[in-house]
Amino acid sequence: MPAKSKSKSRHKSLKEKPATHYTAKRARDQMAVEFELDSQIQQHVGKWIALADNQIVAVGETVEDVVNAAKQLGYDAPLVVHGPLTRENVAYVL
Amino acid sequence: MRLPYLPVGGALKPLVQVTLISQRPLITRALVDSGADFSIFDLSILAYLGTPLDPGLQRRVTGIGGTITAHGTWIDAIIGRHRLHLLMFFAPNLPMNLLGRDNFFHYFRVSFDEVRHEVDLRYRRQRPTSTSSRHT
Repeated sequence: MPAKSKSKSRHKSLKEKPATHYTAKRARDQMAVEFELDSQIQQHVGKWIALADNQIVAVGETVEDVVNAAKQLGYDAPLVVHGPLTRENVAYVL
Repeated sequence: MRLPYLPVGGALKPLVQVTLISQRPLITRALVDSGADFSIFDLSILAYLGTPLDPGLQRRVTGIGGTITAHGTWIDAIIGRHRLHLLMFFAPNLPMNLLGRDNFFHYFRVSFDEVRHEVDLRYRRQRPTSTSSRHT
């Protein structure tokens, strides 16, 4: 009986561990991508930027410009963000 | 839902992804800002959405940079799995879109974890009426 319960717990740990590791690793990888994207976004001062597939797909003067440009590349629902207002690295107190 | 902070200018901030619903929906990001009285988004976003402004919703908004006039309307939005009816004001040249207390914080109990860099949004099924909607 003790052997059986030991095997059950081993089975459980085998089942759970990879999932946890996968989630944590995925979160770390995604955060690395976010930092890389952020550093690219900081180059486009005052512009609107469309992001898709973890990359910048369009940069333009208006939201409409970048959404249309992204659509032409096949990205129907890009994430649209605004670049920084200034080249200076500023903190926000809003 | 617990969401990780996202980097802006190299610093992690409580940004969430918002899908604004109109005839031309738009996915963007906004800062969860417990210090903001209202949600305020860049005017260019409203121009894209094509949603008409509500003439009764106009506020003078003061920040560190000075005072501006912001115009408001109600917009449906999706955050996480939840569809919200948000009061939003719009002004030009904002450094960041903001999700403020009235009425974004009516939908969620919001807590910030500055050590783990996470924002926790707990959805409320029962909500008070927006302060602004009482005036309109």
